[in-house]
Amino acid sequence: MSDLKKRYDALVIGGGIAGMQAALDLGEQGYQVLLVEKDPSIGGVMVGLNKVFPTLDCSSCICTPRMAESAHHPNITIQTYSEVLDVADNGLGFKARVLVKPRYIVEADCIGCSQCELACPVDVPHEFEYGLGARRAIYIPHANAIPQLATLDVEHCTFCGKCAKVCPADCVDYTQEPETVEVEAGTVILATGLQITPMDSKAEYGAKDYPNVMNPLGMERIQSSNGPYGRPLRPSDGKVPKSVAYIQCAGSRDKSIGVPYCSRVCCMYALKQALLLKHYIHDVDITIYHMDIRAFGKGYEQFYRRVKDEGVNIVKGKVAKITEVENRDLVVRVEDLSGGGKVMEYRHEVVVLSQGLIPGWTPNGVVDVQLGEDGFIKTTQPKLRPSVTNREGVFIAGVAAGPKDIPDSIVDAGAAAMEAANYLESIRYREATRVPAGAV
Amino acid sequence: MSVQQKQERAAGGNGGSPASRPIDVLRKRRGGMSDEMKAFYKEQTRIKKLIREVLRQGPKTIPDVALASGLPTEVTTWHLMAMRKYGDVIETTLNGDYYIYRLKEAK
Repeated sequence: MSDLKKRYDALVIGGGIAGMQAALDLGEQGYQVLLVEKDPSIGGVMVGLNKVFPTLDCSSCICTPRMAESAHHPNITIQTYSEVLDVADNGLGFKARVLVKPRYIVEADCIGCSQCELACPVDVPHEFEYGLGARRAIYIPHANAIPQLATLDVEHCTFCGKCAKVCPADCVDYTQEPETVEVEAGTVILATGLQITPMDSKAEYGAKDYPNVMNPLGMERIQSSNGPYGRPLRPSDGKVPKSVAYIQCAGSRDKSIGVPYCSRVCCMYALKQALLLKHYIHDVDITIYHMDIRAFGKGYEQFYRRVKDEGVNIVKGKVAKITEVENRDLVVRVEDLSGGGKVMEYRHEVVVLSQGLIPGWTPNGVVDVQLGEDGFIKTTQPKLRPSVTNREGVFIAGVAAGPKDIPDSIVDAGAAAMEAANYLESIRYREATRVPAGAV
Repeated sequence: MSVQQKQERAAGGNGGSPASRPIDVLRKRRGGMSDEMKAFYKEQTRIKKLIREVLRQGPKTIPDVALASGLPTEVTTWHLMAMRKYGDVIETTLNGDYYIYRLKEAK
């Protein structure tokens, strides 16, 4: 099933924006790169965002060219729907075992026509839509997926066989099984990205029970024109929301949930989403409840002022509790420090929790690198060489090292690629074992 | 994959008898559908059938579909939006703050 080569110059774990950037920076220098991604498509979180701050560029419009470039680069091999099981020293570099999960389709023959998905009778909550929308048991992850291949989620399969019957390329292959492949690489870059703080971290916010308490990445999806609803609507009943609240620091700066640090991007993504909602729904009332507004980057302060000027209410106060009332509306209880310090209750139709960022993956049992107190992979020289781990030859890029926005992730990835390239050259890897382009 | 390889795969590598079809091999390897999956699929089929029956009576908003079907509104929203994604349901006009949906088969 897998046609991976035996040896690469670099193994990049994680196919999000940082992983792709690191792979491209190495590939452009002539190094052979294997990019392993656990999901069926590369692109990470960024490809699912609506727009990016502060430029309001379409996120998938700027991410998909990088995805295409990575997929078509002569020096980069992408291996999706696969996981790295372990990475060990082998004298000249590293030896890694990669689990290639079966898609149950012959990849070389699949034309991405979606006929299998249309024929499948099972609707499943779609991970890409953060559960708000559906996919089928056999599915193409999204319109921008690379590779644009079907994947059969056998856990939700009814074994009806309809997908194989309708496939015009006759490429459904129910006989596939997981395969473990060994590869060698001179260096490893960890670009394993993020996940958000679990929505049920604070029971007081009711995310487990109240459908209109929303995941911020779910809000990105419903704001997207190719999202689960086609337009921003309320999850409980499809209503066009007229009052939306954002709760800042809902999943950060909170020792009680084990996330004491600031996640850096939440203020900006809340401001961005609020501004865009104002554009999509002209008469919507939006309030952002915050402890502080952190607009640290280039153009960010100006963006914050623009959002205020366009009528988004900014209220200083940490929300203590959210309660559901009739019609599945929500009441936010907050000490309104902007309004004299009184405890107030405000009613909204949708509440978005601005959750924080936590590591998307743990290296425990896979790669022997140290973790910091915050749970992210530790950089041993955070000021001067922020891509370096405690393990020689293993580097990190992007949010794997700590919360950061997209520009910082890309800069980080470039730094990691440079460190990796320097490492490969310094151990005379090129002379001994560098894999020439086209070698098997 | 060559034509011969596809034929062999389709035949399950065992002469093509129904008992050895690849889908049957996969079903056997997986131990069939779990009870949880059976219940999930049965409930989903029931819900989608209910929504279709209600919309056959005429285009409706999600709250109206929920009321007519007896389903919770959030369940109605999820399934109706799935039906919309896969072409069974079409969004029409806005009525107040709610869009009206109709079955694609209806005109």
